[in-house]
Amino acid sequence: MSEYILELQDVVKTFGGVTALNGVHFQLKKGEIHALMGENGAGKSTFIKVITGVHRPNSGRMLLDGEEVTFKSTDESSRKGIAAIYQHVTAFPDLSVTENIFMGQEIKSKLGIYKWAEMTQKAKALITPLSADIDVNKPMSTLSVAQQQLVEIAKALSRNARILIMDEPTASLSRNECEQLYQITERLRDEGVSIIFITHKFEDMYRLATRVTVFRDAQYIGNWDVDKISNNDLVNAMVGRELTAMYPEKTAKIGDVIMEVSDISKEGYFKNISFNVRKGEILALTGLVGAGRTEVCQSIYGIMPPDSGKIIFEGKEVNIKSPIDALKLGIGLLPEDRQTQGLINELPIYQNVTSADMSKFIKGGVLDTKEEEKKAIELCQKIQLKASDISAPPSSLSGGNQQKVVFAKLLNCDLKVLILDEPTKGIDVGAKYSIYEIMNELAASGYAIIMVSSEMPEVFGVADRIVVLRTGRVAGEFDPKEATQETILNASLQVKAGGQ
Amino acid sequence: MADNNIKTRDLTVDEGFKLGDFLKSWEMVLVYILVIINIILSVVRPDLYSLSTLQSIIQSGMDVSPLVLGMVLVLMLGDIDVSCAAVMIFASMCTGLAMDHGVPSIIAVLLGLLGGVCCGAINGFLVAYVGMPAVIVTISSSMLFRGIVEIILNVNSLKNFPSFYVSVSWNNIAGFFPVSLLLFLIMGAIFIYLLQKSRFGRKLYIIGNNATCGQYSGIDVKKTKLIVFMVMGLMSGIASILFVGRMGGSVSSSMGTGYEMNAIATCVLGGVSTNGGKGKVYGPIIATLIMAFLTYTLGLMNIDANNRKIVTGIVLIIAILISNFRDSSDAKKKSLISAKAREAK
Repeated sequence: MSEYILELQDVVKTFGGVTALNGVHFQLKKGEIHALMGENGAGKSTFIKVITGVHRPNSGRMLLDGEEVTFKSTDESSRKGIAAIYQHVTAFPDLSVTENIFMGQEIKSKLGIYKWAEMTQKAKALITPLSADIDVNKPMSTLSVAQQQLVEIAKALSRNARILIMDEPTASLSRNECEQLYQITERLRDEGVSIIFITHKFEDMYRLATRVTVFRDAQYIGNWDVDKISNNDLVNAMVGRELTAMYPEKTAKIGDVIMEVSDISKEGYFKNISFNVRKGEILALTGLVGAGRTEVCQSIYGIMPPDSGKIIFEGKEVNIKSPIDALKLGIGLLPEDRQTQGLINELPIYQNVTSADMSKFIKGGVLDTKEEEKKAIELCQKIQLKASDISAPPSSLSGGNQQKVVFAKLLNCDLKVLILDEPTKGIDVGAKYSIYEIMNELAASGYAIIMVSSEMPEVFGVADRIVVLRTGRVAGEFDPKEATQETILNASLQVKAGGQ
Repeated sequence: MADNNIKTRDLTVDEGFKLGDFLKSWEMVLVYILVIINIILSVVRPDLYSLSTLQSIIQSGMDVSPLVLGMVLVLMLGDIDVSCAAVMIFASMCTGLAMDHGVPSIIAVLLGLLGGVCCGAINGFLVAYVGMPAVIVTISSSMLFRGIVEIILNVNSLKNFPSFYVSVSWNNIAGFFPVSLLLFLIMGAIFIYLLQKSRFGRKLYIIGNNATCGQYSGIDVKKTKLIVFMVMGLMSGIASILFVGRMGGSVSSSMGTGYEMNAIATCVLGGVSTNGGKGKVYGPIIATLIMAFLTYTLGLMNIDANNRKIVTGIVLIIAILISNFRDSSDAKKKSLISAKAREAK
């Protein structure tokens, strides 16, 4: 028998042209808690899905108890004793706790009738050691997030899981709930379960893990004993990247403040956010996923207007109640999710480009499609969009070119402020460079740009100023020339103060 | 760097009309179906295949036509309106009651149309601003509108309608061209403009395909939906003119059931997707004629009413199967082409 219960060697997984995992290694010892860390988009989630059989790797080997295995489905992996608890709890909210635990493995009589009494009893027996105050007959939706996670753990235990994967379980828990979860996790470890604990929080890692593996940009960086690596080395391992030649020269001249956001709050999302942006400036809004960046952008753009606070645009206080108001003022948003918010895949490229402002193509009450096409071609050439036909649907394009269609759509409107929410998400490195070029050109021609980004090097390579958000508040404002990636990461994680 | 990566389609020359593609388009398939039905009719009952028969066939099918046109817009949004027949009867009642009370006929007609628009506004408000599913809203409101009509009319029927109702439905221009068909073609032209040429129509395509993206693109999705349901109400009001006329100028509460289903089926046959965002007005216009010819021809072939329904149902299913099959093979072709284009890069 091997020393490792689970071992992955040289695992490669690509989606279309995007490499999500590039020759990744991982070794899990029996009965250990192993932390897996890395920035957003480092490949952690894909990695879990490869282990549980959601995705099949393009190449590489996976060894379970020293024997090579391949899983075609989550069903196979769960029969081998692998269970995963995902970041976004995947329960059925309207079904009871018992029903959730036994979903797909119901206890039946010979006639195929469900034995609910037996299942309820077993569910109680599983849940009680984890938390005494969960009623197994209540629907899942009445439980707190922490309790729901415990139910997921109980579900894993009911399947005799030997390997438990937890994907950022502490992300939305309070301090007390975290402590409870730590204790349960340790107890499981003592009972012989091997645990992969994925987290952003250094606190989790120090409290629980004996070893840590770091991924960065789909690559395996290394694994260390937790007590033998310093905080700084670990941060370096997570972010350390060459910055040279990945970002174009900046040419924009920074002008006056064009928009000021003052003290805006939105219940449940963010509180007292203030910042401003100048003409020709690229302002980066960064922080962890879930820190409230997207929500702030959507508030400014009028998708979900803030509860309180002021937005001052060109010296005047404005009231933006919908994207219609925002566009009229000259504020545009490149949404985070291209597919559902940015593009209409069924309509031709040129109709996508003109969709946000059709008024200039109307002649005698009729939409002049020839004019639309002409304008779309002009804009697409300006940003070097590669497409065979302006009437083709955007779904025929690569990710980078799809994003350029959304850019062209914004350029078709007469805008002054562009809010770009993760403009390079899911785009390969080469295409990223040309997106940066577009951003620089736009800044040079006087646009003010607010860029939301999770990628630290991108933030440093492109931005003139950095605002860090943490749990819905501004954690600090930095000058990229003075700050280091470590200071930014510290601000977004708040390593020293120990988190909230 | 600034190489022309987009192959500019030569804008001075039109795209190049391809006869082959045109002949294979769904609209042309519908024309073929229409021709085939005509051939069958002329072979089976050559004695009856005459100008007056053709006129009656067309006139018999025109009362549903305004509902079809309105429904195209509603389906384009990905919504549905099953209350339109009830609204049509409601509008008839408004006009009929007004006439009974001695209101001038032109105002009575306008009151009927207004009644239709109000019903549509109620539907539209609940769907767009309250956010309820259109199918639930319109099933309920259909009961509501019909219930109101039943209470007011009880078992009586209204018989006092403007005299032009009957002539619109049954007269022919110069003894040749049915008035109702002319009205239908005029409305059809307006709807072709509305959906395919105007900014409003483009908004419907955008909302039907991706409402979220529409919202992000600064389109007032809710207002647009409300307007569409109000237009549907107006069209139900116009349908009431043709319907009452066809019924010889009287209306009772139990009339017109099933018209909403005919309208929806005709739209789908015409190539409008119930998922929204797909289809044009030409198809449903031809499909309206097909439905009229189909029911009438089956009647002339001495097939009884119930069997006629069965045959109509089967024909519809087959037609929609064909159109689905064409779509999926089209999609396959497209994805193949784009995959090749990507490889070539």
